[in-house]
Amino acid sequence: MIGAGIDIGSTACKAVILQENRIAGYAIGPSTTNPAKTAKDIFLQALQTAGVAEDEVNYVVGTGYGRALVPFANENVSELTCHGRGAAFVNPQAHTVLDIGGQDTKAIRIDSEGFLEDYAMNDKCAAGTGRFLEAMARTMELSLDQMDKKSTGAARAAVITSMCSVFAESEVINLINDGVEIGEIIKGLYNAMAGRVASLARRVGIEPDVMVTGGVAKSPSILAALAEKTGAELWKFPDDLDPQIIGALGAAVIAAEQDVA
Amino acid sequence: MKMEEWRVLVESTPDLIQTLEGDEHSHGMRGLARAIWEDLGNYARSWECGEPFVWYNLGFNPEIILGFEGVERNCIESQAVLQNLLGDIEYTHGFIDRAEAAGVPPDCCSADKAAVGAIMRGMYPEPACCVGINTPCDSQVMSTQAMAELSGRPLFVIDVPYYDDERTIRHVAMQLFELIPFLQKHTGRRLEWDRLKRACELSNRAVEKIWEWLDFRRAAPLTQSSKLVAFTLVHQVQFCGTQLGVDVAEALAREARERSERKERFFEERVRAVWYQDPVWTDMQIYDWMEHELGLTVPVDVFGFYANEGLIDTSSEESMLYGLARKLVMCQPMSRQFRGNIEAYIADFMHMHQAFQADCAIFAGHLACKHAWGGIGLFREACRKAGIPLLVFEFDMFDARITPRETLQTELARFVNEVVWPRKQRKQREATA
Repeated sequence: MIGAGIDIGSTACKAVILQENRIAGYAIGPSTTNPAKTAKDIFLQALQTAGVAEDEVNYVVGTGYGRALVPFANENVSELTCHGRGAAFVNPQAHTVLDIGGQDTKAIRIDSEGFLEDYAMNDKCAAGTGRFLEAMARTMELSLDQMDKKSTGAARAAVITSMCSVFAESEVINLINDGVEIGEIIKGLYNAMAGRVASLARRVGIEPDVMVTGGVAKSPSILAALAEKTGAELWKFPDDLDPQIIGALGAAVIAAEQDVA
Repeated sequence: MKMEEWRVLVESTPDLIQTLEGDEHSHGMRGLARAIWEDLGNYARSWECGEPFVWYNLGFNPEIILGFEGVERNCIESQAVLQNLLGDIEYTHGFIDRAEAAGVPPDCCSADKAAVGAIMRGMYPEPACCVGINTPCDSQVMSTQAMAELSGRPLFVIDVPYYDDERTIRHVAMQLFELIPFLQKHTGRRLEWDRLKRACELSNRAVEKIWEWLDFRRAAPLTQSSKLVAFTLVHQVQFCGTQLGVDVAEALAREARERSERKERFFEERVRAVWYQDPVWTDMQIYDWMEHELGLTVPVDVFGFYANEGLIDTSSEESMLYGLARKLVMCQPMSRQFRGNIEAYIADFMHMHQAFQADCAIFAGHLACKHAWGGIGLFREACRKAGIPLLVFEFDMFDARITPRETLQTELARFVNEVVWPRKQRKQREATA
């Protein structure tokens, strides 16, 4: 049985191929203005990494904001459910999933099979999302990777009081003008963001293991800030598993469960 | 009643009754619509005849006013409810805007803002006097003050303490005793204890019927419309102590009994929720949508459950006042839930959840309900410990402009389809395995 999951997010498209209950391959690429084409391209890339032909795939599940625009998907499932199932697939002890995506942040509490017990979402504004970091990176004329590196050496964190992307940008500019070291500003931004995510997490209840997923989870500095703000030890992803694919993986898990062979 | 807002109500209510006549089994809705129609008629006649009116705010149970012959009662929040149910919701918005423009803070409750706006618009006949209660929220306190200031008439405020013990009820009963000469002085009528006794007896009969009705709603699957439960609030505030109240309660119980006997199901029930906060007055059709699209039913809500504690001992004058005080403290909207500590609110929910075989809780967070929002963390924690899925969302019960219907639908659908229904299915599978 081969199942495929396609997660079309606001900033990235992810595809996972699940074969005989193991991840056979995956691909990640930027979202574009043509979600159907992007989904197909990323899907084909994932098939290539898995060494699987398209017609060998038994079932495809689409998820993410653009899930309705995956024409070759057999079914659409929400990203909440997919993140829960994907997290439980890689770690059955995971009970709290914090997904920091490009457009929203989700705190999900799941049981050992990945079924949702509670959730909270920040989908009304950019605060606490990848978009917020992108905006700040743009303000400081840095890439996200450069931001992470610069924050690592900072001795202390500047205080960023606003989580609104617009006001935080003004605050960052003021701090730069005040001569505050850039690494300290970035560390302050990470703390502010982590505080926001932690408050979301507390709404659903923080229960170990705590797993952070999404593109932002690739930043060690943000993970450190999150661990501090949540007071929880965060589950460490194995080196060969990308935290950004958990939604697509959950979709693939659901696809692989379908009795269509 | 020459204003446009009243005209809409007077024209639309018979239309609703006519529509409901087409469904021979909808005794409850039809009974309620007829009662509103008759009540509107009585109200109009009293207005035309120049009878003394007593204004009161939400939370006061008006049986004592019914003990005065020829004195008409007027709940100042009634326009908001009537316009949303039968008239035009835009009029409610107009009342809210008028109040805000006059300086009422936007974060006050829309029920109270609409009340103030309706008074300013001149929707109600001038009162002889006003009765207010000071519980539980800042909005109620604001509307109590506003009704006195805008009407220019004397105000009697009943102070309801923090606790719900014997001493509290006696304290309120003493104030009801003091209210009698106040009402006599300003209405020019005398309290007739026999009339009050009759009102209390009618109130008790309605309470017993409501309780009988709720008993039918405990059974799963639900055989009656979810939205009916929201009307227990209207029933309690507007009709208690009247024959109309008994008629409505009997109609609700009769409908439930008959549908139950016929094992009638006009929607496929998948999950049951205790609706723990305010009804969506801005869009009562959302309950129909929930039933048909999600299979979500609401057997009970927070305001509908206290009827059994509303019985009044009519054996003496003192016992009646004590019973009315007890009803005001323990049964009226918000006094019961938010006057004291949040533990009582949570305990009531846990009881309802079990008694009505609910699968989940829906906290429909009316924006201005600060006391409810203040306890949400503890409520959430209690649900988590009990393993009860809980949906929390923000909306405004009388202002449709705050949260669009589509947003409510998205929240409800996500919760049911992704949390409650998969969980219930799994439990059912495990039970049959």
